[in-house]
Amino acid sequence: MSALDHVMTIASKELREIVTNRGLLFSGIFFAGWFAIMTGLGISGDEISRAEELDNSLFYMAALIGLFVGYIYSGQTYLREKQTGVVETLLCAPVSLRSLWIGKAIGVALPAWFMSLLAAGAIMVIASQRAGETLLPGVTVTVHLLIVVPAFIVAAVALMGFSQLMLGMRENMIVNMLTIMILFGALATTRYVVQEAQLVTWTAVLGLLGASVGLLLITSLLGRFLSRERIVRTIS
Amino acid sequence: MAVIEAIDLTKRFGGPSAPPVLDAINLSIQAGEVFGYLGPNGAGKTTTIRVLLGLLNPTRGSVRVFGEVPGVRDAARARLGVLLENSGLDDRMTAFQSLDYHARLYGVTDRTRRIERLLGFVGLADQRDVKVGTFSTGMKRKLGLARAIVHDPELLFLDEPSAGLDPEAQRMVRELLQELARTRNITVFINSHHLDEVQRLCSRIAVLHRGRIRACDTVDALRRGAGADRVEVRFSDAGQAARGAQVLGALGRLPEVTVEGDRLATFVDGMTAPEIVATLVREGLGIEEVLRPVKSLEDVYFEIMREEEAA
Repeated sequence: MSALDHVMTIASKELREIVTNRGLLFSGIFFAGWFAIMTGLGISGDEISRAEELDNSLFYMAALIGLFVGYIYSGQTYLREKQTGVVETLLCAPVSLRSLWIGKAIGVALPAWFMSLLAAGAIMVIASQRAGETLLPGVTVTVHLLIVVPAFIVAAVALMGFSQLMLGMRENMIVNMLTIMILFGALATTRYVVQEAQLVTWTAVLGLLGASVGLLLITSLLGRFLSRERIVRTIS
Repeated sequence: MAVIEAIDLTKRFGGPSAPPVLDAINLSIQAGEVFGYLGPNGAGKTTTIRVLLGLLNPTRGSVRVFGEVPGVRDAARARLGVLLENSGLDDRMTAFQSLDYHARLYGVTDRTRRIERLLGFVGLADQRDVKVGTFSTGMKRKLGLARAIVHDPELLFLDEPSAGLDPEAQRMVRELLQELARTRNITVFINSHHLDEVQRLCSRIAVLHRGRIRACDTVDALRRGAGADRVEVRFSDAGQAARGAQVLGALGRLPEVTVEGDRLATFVDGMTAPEIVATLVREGLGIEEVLRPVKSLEDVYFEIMREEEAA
C-alpha cells in the first residue's frame, strides 16, 4: 500500500466520522451559522459599498470560520485519539507518521472548508436579502474561497495537529485555551474591521495564498521533529 | 533465528543520571513461542513492549525484531499485531468499520469475508454494526484482539490482554488466545501480571522487577528451580512430628526441619525424599501421609518478588 493510499484511508475515515457525528456536525454548523449571520447582518445597505463589504467579509470570515471549525474538529481527531490510545495503536501500523498526520489534517480540513463555504453562502444570502438584490462575490474572492481558504485551513489544521501530537496533555490544554481566545477575538474584531469597506485585491489574495503555502512549508519542516517516541511519551 | 532479540536493552527517561526503567534486558524469543512477561505495575513491561514495537528507542543496547531494528521501516510493522493496554479502538466506529479501517491500513485483501469471520471468532458477529462506544470492556478487548490479528500477523504483542475483565471474560480471552496459538502458530509476547493466565498460556516466561529480568525460563523449570523441593510428612500426632524433627536434625544433612502441629516439613537438599521417609520409618514413627507439594507459579513469582525486595 502506498503512502497516498494510507493518507486517503485515514482522511476518509476522519471525514466519515465528522460527517456522521451529529454533535460535531451540529457544532460546526452552529458556529459557522452564528458568525455568518452576525457578519451578514453587519453588511450595510449602502448601494455603493455593499459589494465591496461583502467581498471583504467573505475574504476574512470564510478563512476564520474554516479555521475555527477546523480547530474544533482537530481536537476530536488528534487530541482525543491521542488520549484514548487510538493514536498509539495506529503508530504500530505500517503507516508513516507523516501519512497519519497529513491524512488526519485533510480529513479535518475538508469538512471545515465545507463549513466555511456554507458560512460564505449564508453571508451572501443575508446580505442579498438586506440589499434587495442578489449579491455575488467578485472573481478575486471566488478564487480566494476555492483555492486559498482550503490551503489555509489544511496548513492551519496540520499545524494544530502537530502541536496536539507533540505536546503533553497539560501543554495542550494551555495551547487550546490560547487558541480559542485568539480565534474568538479574531472573529469578533474582524466583523468590525470588514465593515470599513476596502477592495479585496489580487495582492491580498495572493498574499494570503503565499502565507498559506509558507505555513504549509513550515508545518512540513516541523514534521521532522515529530517522532513516535515524542508522541508516546506525551500521551499521559 | 530469534523472532525477538534484545541485548543489554536499557531505557532511561531523562538524563543519564535518571534511574533506568529497563536495565540490561536480554531476551531471545523463537518463532512459535508464547512468551509471558510478568511483573508488578511499574516494572517496565509496557516500556519493553513499546521498545520492541519501535515506539521508544533504547538508551543503550540493541533490539531486533525479525532481524530488523523496530520502527525504522514502516512496512516491517505489517508483520506485527498489537493489542495495547487500552484497546486502541475508536468509540465512534462500529465493530466492522473499526476492523475494516485497520485492515485497509495493513493492505488486507478480501476484507469483508475476513472481518466477518474474525467477528465470529471473537463472538461479536451479532455486534457487527454496533458502535464500539457502547461495548463493555470485555467486548472491546475481544474486538481489540480481532483488530490485532486482522492482517494475520506473525508476531503478536499483547499488553495485559485481560486487564479490567471479569473472570468470565478473562476465560473467553484466554481461550481465544489458546486457539490462536494452537491454530495459527504465531509468536506471542504477553505482558501480564495475571499469573494464572500466563501459566496457562505461555511456554516460557520472564519475571521483571524494577526494570531487570529476575528469572527467565519455562514455567515448569521455574517451579522446579525456585528453591529446593520440599517434602511434608504428617504424623499420627504432634509428638511424633517433634520426634521426627529431632531424628532428622540429628543427622545434620538437611538445611532446615520445621514442625507445625502434626506436620514436619523439610527441603529435599542433602537427602532424597525416600531417604527421609526411610529414616523416619526406621525410627518407628507413625507416618500418616507424605506430601511433595509442587510450587505454583504464584509461589515462585512472590518468592522472586520477596527476594528482590529484601535485596
